[in-house]
Amino acid sequence: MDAINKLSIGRKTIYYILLILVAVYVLFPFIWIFLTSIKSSADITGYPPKFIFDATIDNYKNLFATSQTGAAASTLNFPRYYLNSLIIAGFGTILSLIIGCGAGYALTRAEFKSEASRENVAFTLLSFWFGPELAIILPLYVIFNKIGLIDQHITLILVYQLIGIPFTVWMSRSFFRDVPVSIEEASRIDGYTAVQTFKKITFPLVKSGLAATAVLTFIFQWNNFLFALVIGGRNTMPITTGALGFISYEAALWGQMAAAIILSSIPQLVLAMFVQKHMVRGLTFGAVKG
Amino acid sequence: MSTNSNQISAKKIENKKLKYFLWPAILIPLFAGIIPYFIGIGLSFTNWKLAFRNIQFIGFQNYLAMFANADFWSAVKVTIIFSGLCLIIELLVGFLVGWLLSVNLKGQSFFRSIILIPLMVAPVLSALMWKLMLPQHGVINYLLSFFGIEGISWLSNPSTALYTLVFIDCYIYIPFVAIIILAGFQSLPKEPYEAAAVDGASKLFVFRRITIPLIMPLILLAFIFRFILSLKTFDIFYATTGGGPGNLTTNLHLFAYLNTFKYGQAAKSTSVVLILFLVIFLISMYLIKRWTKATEYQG
Repeated sequence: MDAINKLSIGRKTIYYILLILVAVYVLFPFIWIFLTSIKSSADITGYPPKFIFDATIDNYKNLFATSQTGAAASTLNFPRYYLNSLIIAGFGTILSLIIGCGAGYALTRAEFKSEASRENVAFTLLSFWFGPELAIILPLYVIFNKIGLIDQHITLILVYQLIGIPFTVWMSRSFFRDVPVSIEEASRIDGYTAVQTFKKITFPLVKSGLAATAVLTFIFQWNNFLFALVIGGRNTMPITTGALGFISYEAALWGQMAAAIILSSIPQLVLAMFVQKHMVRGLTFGAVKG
Repeated sequence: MSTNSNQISAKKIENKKLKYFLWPAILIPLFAGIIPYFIGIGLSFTNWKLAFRNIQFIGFQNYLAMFANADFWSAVKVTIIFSGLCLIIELLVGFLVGWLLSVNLKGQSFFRSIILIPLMVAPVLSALMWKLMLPQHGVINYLLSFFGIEGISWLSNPSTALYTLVFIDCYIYIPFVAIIILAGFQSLPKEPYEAAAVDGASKLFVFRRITIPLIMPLILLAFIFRFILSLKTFDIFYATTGGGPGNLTTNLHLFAYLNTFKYGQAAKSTSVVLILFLVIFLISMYLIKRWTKATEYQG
């Protein structure tokens, strides 16, 4: 052990206290929202807030009940929102992955006139991600309104490609870049075709990276809000815009909203556990290899 | 034809085939992104309103009206204050947290996983969580009362609403900066530190002259990401305050949205978001060039 790595006990204690503070800060909202989700509405609104109470799963039951109490509540349809999110982010991810990974591979291996033109293609794709979403979605709203494509799953899946494709292209590109060209060339000299080489040599090497790309694409599309707000509607409303409905002028269903937040966050948190290794790379569009 | 030229032409054909894979990735964003974007530019020169059918060309009137509109400048101010505060706090605290997570301790992998949680949950849901905790009689005020702080209705009080939004944004994105900085600390080379130890350099000197320059590209990267995202923040504004009280928390993106869907001023809103886009685009392109240079120096 070198001296740099040896910390005094006092220092270690300070570090641990700070780390625990950070963890509490991050986790507290989730713990509190979970507690809220298993409280009765009287316990939720009472003051001081209760940390010990009779737990109930009524809020969760009500989310899935077909007829809900209150006139405004009847328009809320959590299972529908959830299903919509699954459909849109699910198919959206598949589409982004097929298109984006193909393009990512081409962008890595194809020969361009110059390096600058290669980067131009890549940056043009990335620029969709810079823009305020409204700059694109307002004109699209006009077009889709004219041709009656508002509030259709296919429309949302298509528009979500603006989040998905730039990401999958950049991510897959960063993984393909890690595969040395020489391995591919050696395989070609051995008589494999381009397709065989991709299947037998390249794909196995990038498999886990592409899986992480898929998971993160799904999470990003699931989390999108503004696109869904503008061109979604009653039929296609995903959970991100749907969750807002629990607190409005007509209704204040705090408990159900808490339950909805917990249920809608679980898929991401579970999925994220599997791709932790590639998280930094994913969040920086492949710029940092974590 | 010699075998050599045969090989070359075969390679050319393959290259062409390979490039076909690029087309779907270009065409879909073209139809879903670039074309609407240009239509938007066109529409910003018209009197288009959501309710009206006939659209007329009116030149630069929307842009002139925008610059004469006090609400627009108020939104500019909100955007700048919000982004400025978020950037400063998130980068400073994110750096510290990233460094803390990089210290060699038992159980660090647990803390490194925990920190990712706010990044995976939809920002709008995080915002709603804080909205549920921040009312006058909410749990946060209850906890604050133990420290002798009298709670107020943070999100609806004119003097605190915007800063509360900054706080919520920090909750979501400090972890983002932290994990990038953490990746930087984890990839630091050993040699410069060993050399400095041999030379007997002070800790401050090592930090300023070795650590900071080595981590600079990652700080810059975190800055670029946060810069772009914070200027076009929408979710947490819309979900918590909806722009209020008054227009004290209406940033440019929300201003454009409300103008369109509350007042039907679609063309005017389009000109607002286009200006915002232009500013973000130009500055981020400059920053990305700087970043590319910074990483090139490192080799």
